[in-house]
Amino acid sequence: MKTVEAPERVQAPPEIAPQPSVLRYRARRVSHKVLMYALLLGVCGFILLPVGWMFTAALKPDLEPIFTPTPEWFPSEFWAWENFRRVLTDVMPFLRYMINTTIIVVANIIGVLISCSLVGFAFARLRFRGSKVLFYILIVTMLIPWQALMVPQFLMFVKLGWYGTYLPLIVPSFTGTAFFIFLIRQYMRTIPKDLDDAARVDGLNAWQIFWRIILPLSTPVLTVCAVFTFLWNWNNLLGPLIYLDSDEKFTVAIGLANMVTLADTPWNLAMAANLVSILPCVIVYFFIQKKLIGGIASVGLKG
Amino acid sequence: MSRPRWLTLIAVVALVSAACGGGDDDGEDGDAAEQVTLDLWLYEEGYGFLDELVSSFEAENPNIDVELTTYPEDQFGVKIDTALAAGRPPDLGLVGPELMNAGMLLPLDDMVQELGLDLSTFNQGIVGEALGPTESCSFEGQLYCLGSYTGMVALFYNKDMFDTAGVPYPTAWPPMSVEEFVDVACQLTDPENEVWGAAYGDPVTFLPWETVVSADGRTATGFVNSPTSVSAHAVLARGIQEGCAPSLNILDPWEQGTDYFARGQLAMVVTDFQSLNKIENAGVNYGVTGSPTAEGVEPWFNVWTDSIGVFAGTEHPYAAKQFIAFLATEGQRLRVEETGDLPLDTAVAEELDWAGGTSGREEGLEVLKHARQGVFVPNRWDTFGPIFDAYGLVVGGEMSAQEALDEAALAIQENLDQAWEAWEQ
Amino acid sequence: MGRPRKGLMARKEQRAAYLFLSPWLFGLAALWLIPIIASIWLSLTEYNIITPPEFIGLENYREMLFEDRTFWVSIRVTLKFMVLSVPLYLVFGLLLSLLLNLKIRGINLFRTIMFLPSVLSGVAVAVLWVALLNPDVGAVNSVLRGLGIDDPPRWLDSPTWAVPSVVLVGLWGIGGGAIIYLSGLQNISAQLYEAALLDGAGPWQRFRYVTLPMISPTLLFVLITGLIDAFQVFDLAYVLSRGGTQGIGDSLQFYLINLWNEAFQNGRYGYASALSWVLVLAAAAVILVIFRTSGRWVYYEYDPERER
Repeated sequence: MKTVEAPERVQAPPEIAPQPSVLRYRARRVSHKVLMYALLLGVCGFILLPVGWMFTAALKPDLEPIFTPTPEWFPSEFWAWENFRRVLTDVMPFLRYMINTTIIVVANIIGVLISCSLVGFAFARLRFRGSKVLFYILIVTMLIPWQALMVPQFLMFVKLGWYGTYLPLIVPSFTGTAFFIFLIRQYMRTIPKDLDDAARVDGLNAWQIFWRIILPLSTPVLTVCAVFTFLWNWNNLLGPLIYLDSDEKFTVAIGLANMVTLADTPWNLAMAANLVSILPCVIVYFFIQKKLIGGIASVGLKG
Repeated sequence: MSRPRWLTLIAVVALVSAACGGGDDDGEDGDAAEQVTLDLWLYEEGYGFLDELVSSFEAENPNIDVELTTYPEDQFGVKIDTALAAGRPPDLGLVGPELMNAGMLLPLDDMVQELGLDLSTFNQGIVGEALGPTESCSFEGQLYCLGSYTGMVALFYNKDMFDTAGVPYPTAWPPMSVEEFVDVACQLTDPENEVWGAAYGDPVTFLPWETVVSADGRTATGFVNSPTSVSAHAVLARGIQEGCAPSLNILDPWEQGTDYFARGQLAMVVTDFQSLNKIENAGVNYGVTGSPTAEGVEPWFNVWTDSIGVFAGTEHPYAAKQFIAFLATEGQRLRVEETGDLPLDTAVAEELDWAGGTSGREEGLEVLKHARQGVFVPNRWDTFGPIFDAYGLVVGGEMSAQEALDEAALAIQENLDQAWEAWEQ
Repeated sequence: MGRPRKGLMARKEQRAAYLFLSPWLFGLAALWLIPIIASIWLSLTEYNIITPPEFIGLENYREMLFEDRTFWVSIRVTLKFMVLSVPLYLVFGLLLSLLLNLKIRGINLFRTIMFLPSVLSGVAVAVLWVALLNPDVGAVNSVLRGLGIDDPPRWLDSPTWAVPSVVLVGLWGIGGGAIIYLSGLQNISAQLYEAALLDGAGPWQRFRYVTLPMISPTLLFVLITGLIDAFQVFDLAYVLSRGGTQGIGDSLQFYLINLWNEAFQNGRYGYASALSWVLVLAAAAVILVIFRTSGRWVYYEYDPERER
């Protein structure tokens, strides 16, 4: 008889002495866990070592070279923790840049969540003439390199009078982003049809199905969209660069790029600046990631 | 949707945008009294100096406000291009030959004449009468920009190390030939104490232009792979192979050379003359000479400045030119006071006794006297790209200098032809 | 299930669909249409952005196909990257997401750490890895030498290892893609796994017959977007090419890098536009093929076309 590996919920009743086969399976469970942890730690190491190097580079005092013949993991003299403070206050108005960037990012997230969920739902679960053609058009728009559209789109926004404002950086998100629409479509198509059928029998129209049934189950994919929107906009350099022309409106990405000059980049400060700028993203992600778990697997098919 | 109609619309959009770039009225006297704001776009250079310059100028001209905006150096070109296309260029900014060629800048000669500025003591490599466009401020007989400092390539050497090894100092001018340079470097290398004799970048960054291109800037074949160029590259590569100099992967002289020199790990370094401050702060007993030259070629080195010009689309040309005038006079003094750099106007250098009796500085000035015109090549560093590769291959011992440079010559010639064609559009 | 409900219900659904689509349709008309047409027009011109464009017909396309050596090099480099990256990212992303889907203690922390590389800006990542991959003094080769490998690859300096270096850096950032899979894993009902268990299925069989099919829509998404990303590699290579060359012997001359250089360094935005439209056509062809064949291996719980 095959030893079946039971799901975690099943446990041996405590009052019965463990049989050999149960012991064997418990041992396998433990070694399984150890293996998983080992894998996770290994991958984390691969991820963290470069970040760790960045951290040590950020801690080096001003005249100490960063790129040395043998990698020097830690500053030789003292650890310049103040580099982090300097980046926030001395080098550039970092705090203001962060606030500006947050405004753009939050607006984009709202725009994306609203528009992409609506459009994605249509492609995912509605039947209509032209759906195939429109979907292919959607995909093709993803293929066009932004470099090609950059200048014509820029000129168009200038003509609209939006130069020097945040509008060109925010408004497009309210009209949908192909990447997210596609993602949401794929996700929504994995929600079983029984829910839909039951709803239609109950006389719900498309909007109600969307709002009451599908959308609540879509928290995981919407979280992914929000997270990616946050990242793209936080790190986006070219957009703000070409549309903004006053320092008060500048974003974090511009500030970071300004630190890198071909002649004399203060690498320790640049690394510190990068690390400081990712803190908001990491904190947001840490708290929001539990929303990644959801959907049918957790909720089940009841009602 | 008929195609011609849309095309016309696009064409009109593009045309109107570009046309808006051309300044319409030349309001001369009106600007002098009313409140005016000038936009100045730069990438960060000389921390602190820019702010000082702006506040001093504003103090002297209370009706003029200068708004300083810094953009990333790498994307600066993109920003200027898109701003021009949008019809919203700054009043003042860092400029280059492309903008002069496209007619986007205002000539400054009228201002120079009106104010009676004497530019003869300014570095002639930058303001001098040039034949054909060079990377200077003079273009087709007119002046389009001015700067605050003189940047140049120079060779710093550690006098103490030379003394210990019993090697005579090189003269400030003429500089050593490449062979001499590498010989001396090998003499001064001390592996036990982790000292290299010299650090230098890719040869194309400091050898005379004759080793790369013809006088009209259009031919590379026969120059890149000329016997002079080949032997110079071979010698310099040998210097690295024999351990007298670090390879570029280990140490980039432009970025880190100064640090290593200041810490006494290099006997000589070919780098930016502005590194002077760091070196003096570290207390090194240093000397200056010109960058090594190839055998039989008149020595040459690159000079540059923070070329600030006036955009043709400005609404306040008079005020903008006033700023440039200020840069050319008081700005020179401020540059010395704030950063200690060598100003563009050597007369000011003398006036403020910039050399201050330091022999190293005197030697630097001596070298500067021999600056001569370079040759303009559109997109210089990208066009010459293949020669960087070639040098890397020679250093790595994968190819002989002749082979590598022959190949590079072909590639560079191709680049040159394309670059000039695009330039002439 | 009833017969296809034509008539009123279908028309209602049609109207509803277009209402849902309206933000995107509006965006297409208002924000995309004009720039796309303008871009096609620009591909027929010589344009340096600061002076008006000059019509030259199909000259750009002719030059690209017959005279531009760099064009063909860039295709080769981009294809090499695509062949290496797409399968690797697909597989490793999926594996990592399975790992991150485990309900064990501290998984939140692990997920956050995995996500870190995606959070860093492209420039920061590039600078970081240029330093790490430095053939002589970088940490990677120091470690390799320490492990006894005498002649480690010269990474970005080596024509053969340049593209794999870029793939490696992308692999470091795979955590971002893994969360996409993670979201896809959420709709696999536990009942399916239970049913499989009752049938006596082992872990591999559960993966093959439950997980994979249920996650195939996400797989399609990652495949398509992975291909598109490979066509459009830019950030890392852009930072690396600041020295004036694109890798030794053009080994990092990606398609979009060439495009960018033509646009902003050679001042030929018209030519760059032509390059981008050729890219769009090529990519569209490949992706069309994939969509056509996707019917065979992608399983949707709900496909409107199928149902009614």
